[in-house]
Amino acid sequence: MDERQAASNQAPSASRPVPGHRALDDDMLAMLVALASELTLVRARQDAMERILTGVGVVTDGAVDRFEPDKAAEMARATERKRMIANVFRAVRMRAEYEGVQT
Amino acid sequence: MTASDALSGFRDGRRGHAMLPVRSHDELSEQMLVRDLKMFLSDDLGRLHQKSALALSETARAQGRNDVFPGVRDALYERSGFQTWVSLRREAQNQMWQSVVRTADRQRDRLDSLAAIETPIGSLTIDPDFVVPDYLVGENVHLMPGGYAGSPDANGVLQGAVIDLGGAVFMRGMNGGLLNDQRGQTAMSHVLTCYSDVNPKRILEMGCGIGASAVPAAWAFPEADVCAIDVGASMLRYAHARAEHLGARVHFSQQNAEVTDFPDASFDIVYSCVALHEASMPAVVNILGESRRLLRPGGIAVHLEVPLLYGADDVWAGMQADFESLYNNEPNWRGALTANYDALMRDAGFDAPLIGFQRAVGDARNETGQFSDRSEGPFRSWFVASGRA
Repeated sequence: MDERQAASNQAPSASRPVPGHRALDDDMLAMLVALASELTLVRARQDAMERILTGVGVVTDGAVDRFEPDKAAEMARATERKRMIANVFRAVRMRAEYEGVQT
Repeated sequence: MTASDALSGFRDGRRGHAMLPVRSHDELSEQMLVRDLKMFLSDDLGRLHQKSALALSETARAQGRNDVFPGVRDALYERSGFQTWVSLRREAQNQMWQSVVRTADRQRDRLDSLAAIETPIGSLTIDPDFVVPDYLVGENVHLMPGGYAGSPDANGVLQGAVIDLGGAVFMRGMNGGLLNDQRGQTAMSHVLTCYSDVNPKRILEMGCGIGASAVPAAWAFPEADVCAIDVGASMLRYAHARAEHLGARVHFSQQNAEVTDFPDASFDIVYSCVALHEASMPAVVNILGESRRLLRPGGIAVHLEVPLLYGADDVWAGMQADFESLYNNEPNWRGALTANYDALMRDAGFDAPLIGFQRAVGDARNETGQFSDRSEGPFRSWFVASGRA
């Protein structure tokens, strides 16, 4: 077993607070940076797929941009959007529900 | 480019017009997401926070307090979930504008060339010395970059395109699809329902924005001269082009609805659609007075607003007004929605004003109008205060 410590698994160092910021603010910003990074990866992979498929003639250049979902696809997308919103913002909903029973 | 060339690239499938910016696959996807997120926040989560507010106000009332709103408001704003909800609603709105601005911006040259109408049936008059009313300076209404009056492009139609597309996204297609004309249709329906003897030769809309509510007047009364005024030059250039591409004859001019340059008694109908809550209460008084001054004897004023008027005891409506005023830059939301319109109309010189709710219609001429003292809810009814000179 490799005993070396991974760079990502170092002991946490002290983080000097930014005046006026709550810890939550810094955590949220950190998560946003990570999310933007993840999204960039997904887009890059999708771009690679489009270029590869275009290169071998499976799709024509610009086919994705010209794509217009039919009614069934539009409904499937709407369902997926709502699922994603409910999932990503689950914590906000739970807190609102919790506060609703606090009087 | 002709109107039909522009429409051939139109992909949204619902009723639209040539001037509306075309959305790419990714732009449409993003704007649909923002629309759904806004709905999730306002409807799904809104119901939960409403429940909190009602529980808090019942507790306060049980403790014998009279004015419960300030206490409920403070208690809600102390809660982390409520704070997050307020921030998220504002950020969803900001995200919508960012996406809409990108869509409009990349098409500005095409839209400007579409707006160069060689033989217009209506007209456009821009006032180079126009002074923007104080209440519109310094606050971008609805968080919209540039607001109503300002424009990032002094000569083009860009700001109008942003406003029109933003409205199409924000209204979720419920205000007459991509034409966004349900309010204008409903105002005309009110005239046909309650003042069926009127045969207008001249009609004025005050606060016309991008002309979505002016076009229905030209369609409902094709023999009449329709004039429409507002404060923003870019918005009016866009409104003019939009109306021309829809085949509607409208004369747009840049004017303040509080003090127009039209002579006394020069119109048969003067109307406004959701303009009052974008003004200030002193301006509302002036606008109602100006609408009275401009009417010929027997002429009709119709002022249409959102059907969400509320009383001081409605704590949740008060919280919504709080949000709109503070975090969606709607400074006169509370004023316009708690005003006594019967008194305001009488003070403006209308002896027997009608105050109530007009059933929303998509086609004033071909749908049955109904005016009553009860609202059927947003997008099913609009509040109307009207009167005869």
